[in-house]
Amino acid sequence: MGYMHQTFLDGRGIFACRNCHTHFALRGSIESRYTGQFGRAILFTDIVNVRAGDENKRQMTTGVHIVRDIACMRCNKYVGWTYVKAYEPEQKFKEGKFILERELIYDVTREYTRDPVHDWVG
Amino acid sequence: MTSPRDSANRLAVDTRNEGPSGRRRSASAESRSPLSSGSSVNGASSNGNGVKPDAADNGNGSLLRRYPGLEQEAQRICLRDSQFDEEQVVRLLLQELHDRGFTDTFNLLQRESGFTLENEPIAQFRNSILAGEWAKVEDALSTIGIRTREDMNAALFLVKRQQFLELLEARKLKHALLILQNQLSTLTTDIQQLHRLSSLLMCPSAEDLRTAAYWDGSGGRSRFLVLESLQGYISPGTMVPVHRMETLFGQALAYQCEVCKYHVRPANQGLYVDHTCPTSVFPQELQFNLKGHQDEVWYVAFSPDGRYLASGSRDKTCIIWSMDDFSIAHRLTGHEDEVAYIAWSPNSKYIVSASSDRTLRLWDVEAGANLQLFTGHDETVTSCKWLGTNDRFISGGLDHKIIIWNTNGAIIKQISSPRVHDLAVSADCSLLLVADEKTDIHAYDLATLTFMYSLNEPTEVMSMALSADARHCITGLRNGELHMWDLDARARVREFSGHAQGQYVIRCTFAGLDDRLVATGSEDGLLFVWNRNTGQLLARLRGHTKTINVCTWSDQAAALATASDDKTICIWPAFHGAPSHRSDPKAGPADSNEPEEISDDEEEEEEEDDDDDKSMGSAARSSAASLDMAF
Repeated sequence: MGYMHQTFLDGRGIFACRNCHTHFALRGSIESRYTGQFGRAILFTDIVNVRAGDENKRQMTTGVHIVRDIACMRCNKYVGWTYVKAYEPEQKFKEGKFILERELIYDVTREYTRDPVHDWVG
Repeated sequence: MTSPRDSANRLAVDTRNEGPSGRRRSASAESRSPLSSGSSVNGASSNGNGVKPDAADNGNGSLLRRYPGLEQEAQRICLRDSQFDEEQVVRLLLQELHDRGFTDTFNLLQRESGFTLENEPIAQFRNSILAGEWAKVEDALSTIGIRTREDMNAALFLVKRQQFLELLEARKLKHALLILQNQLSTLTTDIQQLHRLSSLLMCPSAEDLRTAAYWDGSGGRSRFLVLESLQGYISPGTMVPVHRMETLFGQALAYQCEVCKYHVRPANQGLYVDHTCPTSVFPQELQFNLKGHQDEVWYVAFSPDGRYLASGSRDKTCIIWSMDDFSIAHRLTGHEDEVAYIAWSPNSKYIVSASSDRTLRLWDVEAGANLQLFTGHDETVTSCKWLGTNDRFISGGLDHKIIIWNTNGAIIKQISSPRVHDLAVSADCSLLLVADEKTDIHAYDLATLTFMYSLNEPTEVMSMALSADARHCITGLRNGELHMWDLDARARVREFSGHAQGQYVIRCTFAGLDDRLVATGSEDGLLFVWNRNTGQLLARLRGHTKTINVCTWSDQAAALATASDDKTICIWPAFHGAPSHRSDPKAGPADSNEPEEISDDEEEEEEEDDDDDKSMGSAARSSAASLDMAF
């Protein structure tokens, strides 16, 4: 959807695409963690370098939401989704925030001694 | 007529008596006037220096003086009083006649009007200079009427310098040295000039002298040039500046071009008609829609000679289109990732493409072949520009590097910089502008690559363009504003708005002749074009269905080109005459691309606006509708 310049984040705890290492978010913008439909997921308040797709109405464990899938802007791999509208009042706080699937991202600033897939960043 | 006119005429008549030029009044005024019946009119006697105040009450004071029987003839002959002093007009005419060689008419006009172009001393002064009789020139200078001491010294210096150079040319070195020591050195305080002149004494031959001093010899135009520069010190009433009438014509033409609203066509209508670019000449009709890319098109650029258009796309290829038949000349594959920037070499033979695969590639346009690969950037290369010659170009990337490359692949120079989002190079290659990832634009001196100053914007700069004279730049911001900066004053001078721009890069450009227009794309698929001086929105052109990523203009091709996320490129030509028919239907895409121009001008005759707006039903309507309300 148009040309976007790639953004680079600074600081400790930068989450990036596991495929192409494009930065997505800082650890400071983590809000909470969940188990999504495909495994572990993290809710972020601010995200960069992603492109959002079309809106879908989806039934999730927490209720019905309107979401848009997001993909890495460089390699076009699916990485998560963003909440456009939440129907349950308790879920309203998620609107405008982003979920990234834990399996598809990793922390580039951290030195890994073991396989990053099994390394959980606290 | 009215009384203020009379007094004005009376005053004009009075001062003319003391005019600096030699105004010779014929003693036989009556016999000169062809319209007079021989008798004196209005009871005023016409003596040689006839000043007839009461004849001025018709407003034709000067003419009535010369033609006493005028009132009866005034109905027949179309005469009017001009706001310009008659003496000045006549002397300009005399100068033109003289310069063009109409000697008979020249003399006749001098006799008939009573004005001369130059009085005797001035005419002799001019001839002495052109003949090189320097003693006479020196004498004449003192009597000619130069006002101040400094001016006199400066004028004398010019004369003596010419004499000095001519003596050197004739190899009369001793005489020349005397002049330098005794006269030239007392006339100026510019030590450097004196040193330069004395170094010319060393020149072994006349040929060397001429090249060293940038002087074309006593036989060339140098004497005329001395005369021209001396005119600055002599009052213009005494000696009319050379080519004065042509200068005035040139100024009038420049003014017409300046106020021309659209100005996409050069002024070639001659002197009879004011220059304007009519609406029909402005690019408003879509001529061609170029399809060929498989994904979003992110960059287009015309070749400097206007024969080709190069486009770069998200589909990792570049395409070179021929502007003669709008067909694909070459498809350039090789990049491993999206191509976001293309730069044409000045000779229109090569292009350099910058890609997010961290490399640049050099392509030959005729053959469509990849000539060279440039590796050295560690992140996406965002921008590249040629440096005036056909063998060097500069590139900037997101890896904090700006690199100057040689076309053979070698790195000439590399500096570290903020992450580069866009680059611009001035036409004389002295200024480099860098738009960084944050909100600043940095200016570098290109010769030394040293940082000079920064311009600060309130939000992120998404795109940047530099005018051809490198005095203005425009920046497109994330919040949908377009700012124009004056680079000499380093201040914002104008803002343009109305288009939709968010986080995606939408490139802006100068367009039209003399960079008269500012154009930018928009996320609603419209191309916005403003007049740069007045800030007036001239057109919103519809031809794309999705975001327009880039727009560009070429003087040679006389067209605007835009590229969009809908994978197509649109060409909007500036017609040189009546708008031509639409191009063949096979060129159009499946969805409608009706080129309806939405113009806001009240005074324009573009009637289509309202009806067409209602009939268009695409999704972009909502944003366009809110735009219409502003007009």
